[in-house]
Amino acid sequence: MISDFILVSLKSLTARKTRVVLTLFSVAVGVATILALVAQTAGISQSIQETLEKMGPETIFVFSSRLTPSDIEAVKRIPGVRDAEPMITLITNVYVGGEKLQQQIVLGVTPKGLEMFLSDIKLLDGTLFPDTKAPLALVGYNIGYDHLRERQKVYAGQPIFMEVGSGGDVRLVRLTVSGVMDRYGALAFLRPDDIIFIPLRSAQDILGSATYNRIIVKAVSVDQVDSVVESISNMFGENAMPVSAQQIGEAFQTVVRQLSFLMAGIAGISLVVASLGILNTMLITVLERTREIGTYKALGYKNRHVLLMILVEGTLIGLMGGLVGVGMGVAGSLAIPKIIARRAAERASAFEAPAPIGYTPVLDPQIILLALGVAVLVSMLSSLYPAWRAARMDPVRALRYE
Amino acid sequence: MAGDVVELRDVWKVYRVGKRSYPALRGLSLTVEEGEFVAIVGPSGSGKSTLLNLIGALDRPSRGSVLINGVDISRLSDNQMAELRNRVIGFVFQSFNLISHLTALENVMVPMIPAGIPRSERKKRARRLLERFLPPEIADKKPLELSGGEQQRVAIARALANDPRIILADEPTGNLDSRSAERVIEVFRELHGEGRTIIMVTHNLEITRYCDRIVRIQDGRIAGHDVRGGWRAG
Ligand SMILES: Nc1ncnc2c1ncn2[C@@H]1O[C@H](COP(=O)(O)OP(=O)(O)OP(=O)(O)O)[C@@H](O)[C@H]1O
Ligand SMILES: [Mg+2]
Repeated sequence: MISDFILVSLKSLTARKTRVVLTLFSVAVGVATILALVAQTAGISQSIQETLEKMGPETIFVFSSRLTPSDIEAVKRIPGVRDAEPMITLITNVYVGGEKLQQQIVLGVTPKGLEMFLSDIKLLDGTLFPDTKAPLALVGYNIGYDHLRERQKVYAGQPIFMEVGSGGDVRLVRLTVSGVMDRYGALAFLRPDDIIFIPLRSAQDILGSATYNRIIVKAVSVDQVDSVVESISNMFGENAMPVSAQQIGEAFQTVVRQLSFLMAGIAGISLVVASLGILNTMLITVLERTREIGTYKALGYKNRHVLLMILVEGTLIGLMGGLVGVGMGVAGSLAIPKIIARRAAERASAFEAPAPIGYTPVLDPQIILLALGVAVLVSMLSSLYPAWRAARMDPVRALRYE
Repeated sequence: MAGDVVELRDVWKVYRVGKRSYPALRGLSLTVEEGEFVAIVGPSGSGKSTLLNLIGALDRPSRGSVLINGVDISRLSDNQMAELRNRVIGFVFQSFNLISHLTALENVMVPMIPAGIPRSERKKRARRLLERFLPPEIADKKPLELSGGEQQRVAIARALANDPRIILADEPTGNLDSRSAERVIEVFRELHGEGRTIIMVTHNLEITRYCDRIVRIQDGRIAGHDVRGGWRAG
């Protein structure tokens, strides 16, 4: 019998297309918002987790302005430290094949440091560089590969030019590409795909400096990380800041968590709006169809039959809106990271600045079902009152209604 | 008593309008026998529709009793009244009251859903009922695509959906031109011929010619009966 009421309700919904579609859309937007937000936060969280695992949770970075070889030796001797390698970061404009990369991150590393940083490197072209003074460069995937045309655009042996110096004293340094890295993957807060790596000694040579500004440290095990961070902190005081990969991850996770509260609020509001929309639509429907409801009652429909009819109508709006919303939510979820990436493309940076987080949104079927369920539940609850009003209408009065 | 399907004893219906109360029916008594065709006439506001609503179990009297097939409707629950309306009584309204977004066929099927008639059976039955009074091609038309006379005949088919023994009609020809009215009157005569009890509020003199009895109402009371031309005082 319920299936009969569903059929009748469907017919009356199609008779009021415009209003139904508008209400349906408000539900769809609510569901899509929830889905997209959950997918993003879950995706970011997951990406942070993966980065930690890929790089190794026992990794520690030391940020400083001036580090000497003896500082590195001192760090290596700290109990709990397995290894330490110096690095040099600089941010400058780089010219690659006629293209100007503004604020490009150039990382000076030893082959061993690179291995500690990325552990598993695949190349599209060329080779890694040795420990050398020669001006070589290993370019990240996003620099070496043309995504639009889907082909490699930087090749081994090609020269690139890097701006060095500041103010009126800017000169161009020529580097030769030794290799082009293959896609490393979506790393949350480090973006090796966007970095240009050069040999550490070459970086020192270009800058005319004997110091470093980074150390990558590996602790013997994860539980040694905290004590190593503390020792480094004690050793350098104000002059250096050790940060473990885990701390970076946690900081990001905290932000994500706070964001997800905000997003839950937004999702909640959009659901409230949707449910008010259904309430409004169904109240108008009930009022407009007073005579019709009187007729149903005169023909022998019981109060609960009328209740069911209106309830089914409202719930169907919720269900259809939910389905449309899932479609919109899935499409939106997949588009959002691409939009973020595109907008932040010029400002991409690895350690410095607010790094845009690379991630893949997570669309859990359970979350989709949950969002759909919430849409149905909310619409059912919002049509409960209109349905109740319809059910308790006095048939004689309803039939006299103009 | 055995032959009486409808019996009203000293029925009052008092409407409350704000703080004042208005008695639309004032101690009205009436019996209608099985198979009778009764016309109810009277001036506007005399209480004809109020009376019909009570007989149709759409409303309860303020005082007195309304018996349908010997059952006092005042003692029935809302649900039992709905069942009575669904199975025992068929309503025909002046303004047709067809469900506008349903086709003629679907309209006729409407009362069959709460009666629990299986879907396949519903369609067959509805089609048969429609084709009694209308050409088959109107079955899939919506009410607005039909003439007034056709709509009213669809409404009559709908009233017959669960084969009720009592048909109540409130000015069924009130919104029709005389030609359409004639066809509708024809249908009612046919139903009368099948032995159904018909109680109809009407101003149509044509109809009153075919009635077994005319009941005159004035100020919420019976002013007199007119049996096949012979006048009998109330
Ligand atoms: N729900 C109501 N509330 C208040 N007064 C009502 C209500 N229904 C009917 N009345 C009053 O009761 C009286 C009888 O109404 P009813 O509809 O029975 O008259 P009627 O004989 O059918 O008139 P008409 O020929 O105009 O249809 C009228 O004066 C009407 O105003
Ligand atoms: Mg009336």
